[in-house]
Amino acid sequence: MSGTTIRERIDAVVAETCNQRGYSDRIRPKNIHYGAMEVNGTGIRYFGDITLVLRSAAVPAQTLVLLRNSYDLCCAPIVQRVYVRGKRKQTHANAVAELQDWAGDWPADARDMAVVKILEGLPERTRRLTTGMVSAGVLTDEDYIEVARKDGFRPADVEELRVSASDVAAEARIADRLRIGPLPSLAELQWRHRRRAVDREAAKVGLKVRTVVTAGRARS
Amino acid sequence: MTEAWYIDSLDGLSGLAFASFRRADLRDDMPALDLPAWYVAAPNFSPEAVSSRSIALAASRAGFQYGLLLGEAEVPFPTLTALAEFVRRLYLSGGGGDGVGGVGPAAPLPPEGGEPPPEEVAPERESFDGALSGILAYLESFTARVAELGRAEGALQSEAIASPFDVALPSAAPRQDFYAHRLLLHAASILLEDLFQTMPERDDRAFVDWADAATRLIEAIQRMGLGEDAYRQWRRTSEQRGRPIDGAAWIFREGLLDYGPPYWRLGRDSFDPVDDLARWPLPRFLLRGAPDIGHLRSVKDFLLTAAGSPPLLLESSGRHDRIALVIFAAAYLENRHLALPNPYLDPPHRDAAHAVLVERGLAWLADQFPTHVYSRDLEELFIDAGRMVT
Repeated sequence: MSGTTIRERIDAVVAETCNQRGYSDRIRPKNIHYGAMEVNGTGIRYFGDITLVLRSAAVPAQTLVLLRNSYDLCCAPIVQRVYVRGKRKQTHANAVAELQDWAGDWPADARDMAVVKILEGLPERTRRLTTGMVSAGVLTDEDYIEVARKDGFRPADVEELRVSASDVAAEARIADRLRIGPLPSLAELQWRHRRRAVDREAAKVGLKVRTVVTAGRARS
Repeated sequence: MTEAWYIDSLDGLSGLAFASFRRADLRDDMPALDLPAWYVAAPNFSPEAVSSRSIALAASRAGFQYGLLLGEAEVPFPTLTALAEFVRRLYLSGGGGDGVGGVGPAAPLPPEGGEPPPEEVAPERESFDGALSGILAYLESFTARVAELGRAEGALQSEAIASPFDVALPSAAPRQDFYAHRLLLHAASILLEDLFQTMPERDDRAFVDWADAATRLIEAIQRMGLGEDAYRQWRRTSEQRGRPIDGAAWIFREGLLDYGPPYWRLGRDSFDPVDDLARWPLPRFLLRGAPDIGHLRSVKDFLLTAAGSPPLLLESSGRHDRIALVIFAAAYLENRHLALPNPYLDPPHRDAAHAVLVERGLAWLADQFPTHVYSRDLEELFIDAGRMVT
């Protein structure tokens, strides 16, 4: 793999994977914008409070979809078959080959990949899956379907903002304590203040903010 | 290489970080991503386990910075608690870039105005030192510890500090309650004075927001039992500066003096004291020529930055103004529902009430101040955090 840091080297592998798939636009590691496939939940909660959901039309065909986080290339057992100490070119080639096994194209392969992802986390069953199970299966905590696109997006490409029910509950509790005491911490006050600012800004540009529970059920 | 706690990825302004216990390997050919990692997030900053560092490094493609490096070296922390406290302090300091009324970037400082308060507004800056001994001792010890730690140079450079400061006003100090009164009055007066220096013409659209900030400030001052004294000082300054006390100013006079329920307060039962701090501008005379806080705009900005980086309260030229403002803000938050109307407050009662307000504010503030001190180069990051937004 080429690059100074592991991030640069993984980005180079993802870019090479795209380019091998013959997409019309050549992609460079520094141009890649990453996202996650999501049905109706709140995205990867670790990356921030607010999930921006893109309109379907804003995701072009020939967008790379990966069955998992591309950094899993560096985790066992995959890293043992990919990494060759002191041989970056060989490691890069192995990593690209591995990534092709996880790769699909948006939108053609996305549904099948979602099914694989959901079923690999569930015991065999004879009954239909519920919407909540589908939502939770596509994006479970740290495990998600990675999407790598060439371009960023504009505000007009955003379908809606989503916030999690647990964060909304925390925000309401802070507000309640601010009203009747005891006074929340300064960090809590600041956190709530900023979330309200996001609400105001979203309203100004006509964006909906929806509250969803973990399994992806809308609340407001 | 020694193992320690290291940051894998960090979004300081959002108060989010991933960390792991390992050797410094982010620049290695193949970092050990199978190690468990911890996630630290605002508003509670309690570390939460995640299964591997793979999600942590993926975050570096989602707005997080890749690790925390000083020069070429990753910054080690002796404990996960010290690392989480670093993220909390960065988050608080970064809030200083939010600007007046919301989330940054802050508007530029108006080119003119911002006269320092005349002596009549702040006649006894030294007169409230008696209320500050606890916080001053804490600040001086904090600064001394930073100096002792020096610069990091790859070593573990952070240390827990004893619980903030003694919040009780020193009982041995004579006239301690009067000190508390002077301190609150001083902060109220410099806020009021600066706000009136920026009053737009009443046919200017900006007047609406200005009047909102002014009425909220006046109501807060009045509720804290400072109205009559604040009004006396404000009137004296207005006369000295040839500022007419009519029209809008008359309305505020009524508010300060609490002549019955002011009509502009009707229907304003619901308020958010954090919004108030965000709409009250930081007095401009404090900002000019002060590179450490020149980017701040509101009292909320200042409170956050001071809580994240307390040494800036010790700046020699504005020390008393700065400390008084922070304590005023904390006292206002902690006593947000209190109403101390002027007619019931003769001086001894007034001073005793203000001692209670200040002590409550200090008690809350002590819990917000740092629990860990870091080497000088890390401490400088806190000062810079708010500037990244502006």
